[in-house]
Amino acid sequence: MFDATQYATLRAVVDCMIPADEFPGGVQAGVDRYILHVLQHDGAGFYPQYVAALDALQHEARLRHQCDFAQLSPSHATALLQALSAGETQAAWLVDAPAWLAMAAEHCAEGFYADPRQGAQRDAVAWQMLGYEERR
Amino acid sequence: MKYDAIIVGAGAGGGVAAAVLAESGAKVLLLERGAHYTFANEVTDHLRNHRLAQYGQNTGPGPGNPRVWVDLQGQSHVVQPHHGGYHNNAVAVGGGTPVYGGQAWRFLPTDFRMASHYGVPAGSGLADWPISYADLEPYYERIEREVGVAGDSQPSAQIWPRSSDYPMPPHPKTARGHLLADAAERLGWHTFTPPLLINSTPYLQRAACTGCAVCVGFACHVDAKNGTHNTMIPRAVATGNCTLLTEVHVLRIDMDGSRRASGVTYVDAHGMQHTAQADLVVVAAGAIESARLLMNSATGAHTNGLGNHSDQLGRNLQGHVYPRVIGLTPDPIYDGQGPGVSICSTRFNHDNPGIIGGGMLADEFITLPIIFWKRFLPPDVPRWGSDAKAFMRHAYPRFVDITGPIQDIPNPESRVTLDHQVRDRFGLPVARLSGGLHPETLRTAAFMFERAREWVEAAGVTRWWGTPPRDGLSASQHQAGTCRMGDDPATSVTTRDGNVHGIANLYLADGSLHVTNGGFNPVLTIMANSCRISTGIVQRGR
Repeated sequence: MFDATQYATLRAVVDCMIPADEFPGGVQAGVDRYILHVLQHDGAGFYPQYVAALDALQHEARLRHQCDFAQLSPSHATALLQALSAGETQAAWLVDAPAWLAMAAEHCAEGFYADPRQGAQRDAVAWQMLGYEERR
Repeated sequence: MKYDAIIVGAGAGGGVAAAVLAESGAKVLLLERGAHYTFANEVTDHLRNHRLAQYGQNTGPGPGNPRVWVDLQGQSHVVQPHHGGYHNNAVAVGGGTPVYGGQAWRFLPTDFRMASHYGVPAGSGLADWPISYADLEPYYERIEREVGVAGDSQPSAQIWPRSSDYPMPPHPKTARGHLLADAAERLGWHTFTPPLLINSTPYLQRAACTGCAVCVGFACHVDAKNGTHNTMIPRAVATGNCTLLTEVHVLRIDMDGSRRASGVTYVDAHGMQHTAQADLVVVAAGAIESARLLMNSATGAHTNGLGNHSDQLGRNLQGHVYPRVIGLTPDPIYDGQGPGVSICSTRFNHDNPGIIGGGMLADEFITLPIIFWKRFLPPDVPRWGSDAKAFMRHAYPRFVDITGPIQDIPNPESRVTLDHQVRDRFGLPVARLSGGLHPETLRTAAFMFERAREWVEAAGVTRWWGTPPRDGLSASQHQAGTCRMGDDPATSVTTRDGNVHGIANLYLADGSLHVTNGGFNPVLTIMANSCRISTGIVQRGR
């Protein structure tokens, strides 16, 4: 559903939004796979916004750093997303950048904190981090 | 065949009515739009349940049942069941009861006489119930015993006159509950463990709660959650007198002349249309759908719907708004113990200076991590990045919260009408929901928010946050009030017996009858009132 560049950008965004620390980051937890699943099912209506935003992110990286978004260092990628969250765009955006980032953050949270049965957090890593167990 | 009674809706109210009528020997047809819903057929999904319906729900209604919600700016929206504006309650055998949290509150004596106690604020529909707490008490007692409530009998008896103890002891307090109990004691507030329709011990041949961490919004994995789905409805069916049909949709109540109902017309699960006849029709489809069904059953003699000669049908739709205050304890306090809600105070339900009514305060059910993220994060914490992740890790094991239902001051302009532009899958006009809160409800909510803040602060938190409720329609799972009882047909839809004014054999038996909805979760009152109404039907010889 995404081309290689778009998917690489998505994975980089996911790891900015849920960075690895003592506990796994978003991609390692499978959050990118969760988002693909959402966009193919209940969240299919969001797919065009993702395509537009991922393309715009790539343009922003090219304009600002002359490289792919996925090649930015974590600190550069995070700084770029923070600037975009504040509405400081340089490339042309077909969607509202702050609104898309807020939505993507919510999808990342679903993919990290909701239940593994439905495709979120591989091996329940987020629940281990929080100390939550379903216990049934 | 002709039935003695047809009951529309096998929820909290309809399920109780089915048992009372069938056990009296009446031949009952119980019609339910939803399906049987148990843990065995539940797909546990933290994003699709009755606590968080992000993309859907774990029960009905299914596709083809939209509603129209009118926002405070007057804009109409076509909404689906999992959208907040739909004000859904679970559609299943048992209604909301297979998936609820099961807080088992009696309303207080003053809750039945709000207008007499406080006066009637301008623009409100505040009124007294035509019955008193004493009229309902025997039925509260019966429901607590026959459906099954675990509660703290001694402190409860100091608040509600009660004829017997709860049949089960209260659930154990969580670590959070103990902390909040100590905090309340420092404030001089009386607290106790909230009564729950969940087994704390084995009861009625079913197991005790295991204290798991997936409770409110879901079916119980050991069937310890007591609703009509596993008590009253199976009892009704076991008599041999009650035929339960599921996944059937009642299109209208049929009339025989202008003063008697003859039965109902419904569509079965295969799409076939049927007419069923009965001496008595009891509507218990929930406050929104009951009102809609009466409206969609309009005839030449009842042009605006059955029971609507005084333009009262559908008005005073109410539920509860909740203030919520969350705080963080210095050290982790999360113990993973469900059902979770384990401390409450009724100190502020009434007689607050300058306030009409009030509400019960309690802590929250055990909270799914994704719900904490979506609803409980403070506004100043980022939603992504390393700080967001670190905050979740720090806050989830440390949070305490206080919330509770605010007694809604009824607003006649909060209402159900029909939307003739939007139709359901059978071509019938859907429910159109409009209105907002009476200003007094918002004032009460602001007052109760401050009490919640005091309680959380007294628990020694390092920080707290929260916001008082904003204006907007309240209905949802606590929906009530659209077919209120009363002695005067000019200001009510039914008699005190639940009988629709002017239609001798048409009854209501759900939350729609509530004149006011208390500062408590209403399900025990819905069950008790249905028990009272159906017992009255039996005693009068149907």
